[in-house]
Amino acid sequence: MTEENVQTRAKPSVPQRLWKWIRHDWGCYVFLSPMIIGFFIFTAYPVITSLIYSFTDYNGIYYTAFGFENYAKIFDFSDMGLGVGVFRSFGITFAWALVSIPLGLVLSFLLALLASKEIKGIGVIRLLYYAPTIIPSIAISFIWADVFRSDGIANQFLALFGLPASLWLEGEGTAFLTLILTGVWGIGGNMIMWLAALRSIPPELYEAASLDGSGRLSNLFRITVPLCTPMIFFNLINAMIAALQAFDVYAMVGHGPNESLYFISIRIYETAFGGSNQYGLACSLGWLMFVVIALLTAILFKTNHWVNYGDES
Amino acid sequence: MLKKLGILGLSAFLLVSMAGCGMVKYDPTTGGNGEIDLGDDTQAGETLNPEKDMTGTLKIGIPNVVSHTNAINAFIDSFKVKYPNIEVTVEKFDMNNYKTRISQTASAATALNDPSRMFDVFWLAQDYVNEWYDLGLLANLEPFFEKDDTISKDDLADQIISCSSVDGKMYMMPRDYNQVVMYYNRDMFDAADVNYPTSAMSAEAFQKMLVQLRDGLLETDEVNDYGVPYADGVANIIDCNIKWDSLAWPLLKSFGGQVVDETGEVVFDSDENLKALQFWTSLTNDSKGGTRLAIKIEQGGSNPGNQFRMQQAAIYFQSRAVISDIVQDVTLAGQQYHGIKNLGVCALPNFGGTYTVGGGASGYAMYGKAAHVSEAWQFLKHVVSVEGQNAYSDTGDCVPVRKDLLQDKDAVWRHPKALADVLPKNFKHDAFVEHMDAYASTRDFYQYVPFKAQSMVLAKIEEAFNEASSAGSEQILRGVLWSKAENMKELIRQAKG
Repeated sequence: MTEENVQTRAKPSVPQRLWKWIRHDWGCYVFLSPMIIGFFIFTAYPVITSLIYSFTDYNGIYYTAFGFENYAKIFDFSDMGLGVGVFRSFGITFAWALVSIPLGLVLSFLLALLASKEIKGIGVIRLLYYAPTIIPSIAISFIWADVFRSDGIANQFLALFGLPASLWLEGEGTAFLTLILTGVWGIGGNMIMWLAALRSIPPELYEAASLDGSGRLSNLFRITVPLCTPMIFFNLINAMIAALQAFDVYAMVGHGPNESLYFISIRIYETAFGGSNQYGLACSLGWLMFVVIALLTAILFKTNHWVNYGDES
Repeated sequence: MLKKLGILGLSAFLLVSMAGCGMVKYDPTTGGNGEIDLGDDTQAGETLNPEKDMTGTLKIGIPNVVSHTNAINAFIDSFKVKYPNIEVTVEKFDMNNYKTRISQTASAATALNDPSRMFDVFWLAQDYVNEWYDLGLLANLEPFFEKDDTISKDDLADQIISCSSVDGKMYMMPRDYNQVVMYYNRDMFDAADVNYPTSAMSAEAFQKMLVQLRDGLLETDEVNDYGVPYADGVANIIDCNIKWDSLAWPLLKSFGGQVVDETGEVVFDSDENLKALQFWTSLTNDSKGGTRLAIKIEQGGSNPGNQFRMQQAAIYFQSRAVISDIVQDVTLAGQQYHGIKNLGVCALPNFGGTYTVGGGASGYAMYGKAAHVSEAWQFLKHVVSVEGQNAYSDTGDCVPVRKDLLQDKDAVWRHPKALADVLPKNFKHDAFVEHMDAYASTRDFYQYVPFKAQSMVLAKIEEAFNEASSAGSEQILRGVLWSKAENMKELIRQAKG
């Protein structure tokens, strides 16, 4: 065998290698192709396109300029800029996240603790709490809007006890609190996750702790909570992303009275589809929101030393 | 390495494909602003007045609504008599998505540089004209009128031309004139033993009549066509969507209110607008035995007409375009409605002291880069022709746009074939054109608002009526007006910026 032949065999040409690759793995790629093509068409393409649009004044038909104009507007806090409005929307969104996430996590955890007890009829209770989560959120929004209208069921209920009617979603001071009240509706979904986490805790740990004289409260804070931290972290990340993307309220009450519920995702939607056709600007707002969510997620991951992953660490 | 190459190749493909999709830079020299070049006189003559046996195609887009379908069918059937060899195709879109779908179709046509993908002609309301003009979707019809001797703008009512124009140039060919009127169920008035309303009524007289009507209906033993006693079935006296700009804006204006003044200043939080809201909430909050004088938005007012059709409301504020649905048996969204057998109509009363009535037009526009200009122009000409207007009028839903037909006592629209058996003999067609000189449309203040902010300012007016609906005190109403005025200021500032 000559030296030349050895070199040729050692380094097949690119087409040969490509053919070998395809021949070897073709079945895999055939099955993956719908997902790969779908990913490029429905995810990668819109994401990259929206990034490009964010640097234009695209109105759905054409654009006239390319540059940082949209981002400059977003960070312009003068009367002519969008800064004040945009950051007010971010403020409302953060306030919602700061209140709704801890409340949702704690309530669903407490509910899961209750639902994890093996008592008669507990299956029904679990089902009752979980059932609301299978209703589409948009349908729930319309139901809440009806419940909390001026002469809706909520005020009728108050009237039964001789209490004065509340403005609920229609009052600037009450809309946010009412929205938090409606948020409790969805805790059944988290409850199921907590139940899974609770069941994965070895019972021997509780038995050993009892022998050492540990009480229920001590068990909760020294065994249950530490071993549930992976689930707390998982729920926290999901809840944060969901809270920052809050949009269902739009169907319920629009912006809320005096724009008290004008979340950032609603602002993005209205910028594009509210009639002014500012698709480019909406894309830049969308990317800003993405950056904020990505930063917060990164911070959570960087500071997750409190999560107990067992022996892996 | 090969896998990385594959990924890079696919990414490159993605970027290359992107270069051709969606991103089209505006170039005023290519006709993107809706200016269609008709060429010299000879070329223009062939385009504007082709032979009757011309062959061609025409693509039309309309909302998927019964009244729109009836209208387009009437126009197309009569158009085919003139041009039998022009093939017309109609595509319908859900009304809720209509604006978006038209914009999306135009976007695709622009991105792919293929105007035939877009409709040559499409329906639009007067509120869409400025927005779609701004997007370059609409063809400027002025050159067509100037070069075509067979049509004249002078034949059309001035108010209607105004509704169809931007900066004095027509971009919409009007289909019909829409003025809000007061439909009423004579049987319910008779049952309550109350005289029929007239447009000469003051706000106080009107309110008094509503109270008498409610009291009478709650006491009568008579039953409606559904077999339900009026006393049990009547839910509201007036059925309407007060948020509708053709009702909301004229109501404010009749009290002397404004939205944006001539200097561009937002003056929405005025005492006049407060009085208008107070007047309306005084009707919606006046409840006796669960029957209100006017329907609340959240109790069905945003989807009006159903209670009137169900004979649960005696009065209905709407325009001519829905009359065939009111007087004939229809099934809407799965609900079967009996036609109102004894329908009355009169112009709206004077609510605020300055007589004002909501009015305007809808019509069809030619796409700014239409693939079939000649066919599209022939169709638009037909829409405003005597033949076209009469064909549509025969459905019963049309008040014509031509001056000669508006005042003609024998015109077809006053004797529509489709409604010959269901409209009462003494039905007052004049109500649809009474006080035309006092008509008000949002274009009154649109001229002081940047294009980008117009529909959002309108949305703020809607929100004000929405929020006022449940407001009980003057303080809350003032707060609503103030907050909406602040929102409007911000929107206008940003649109200017």
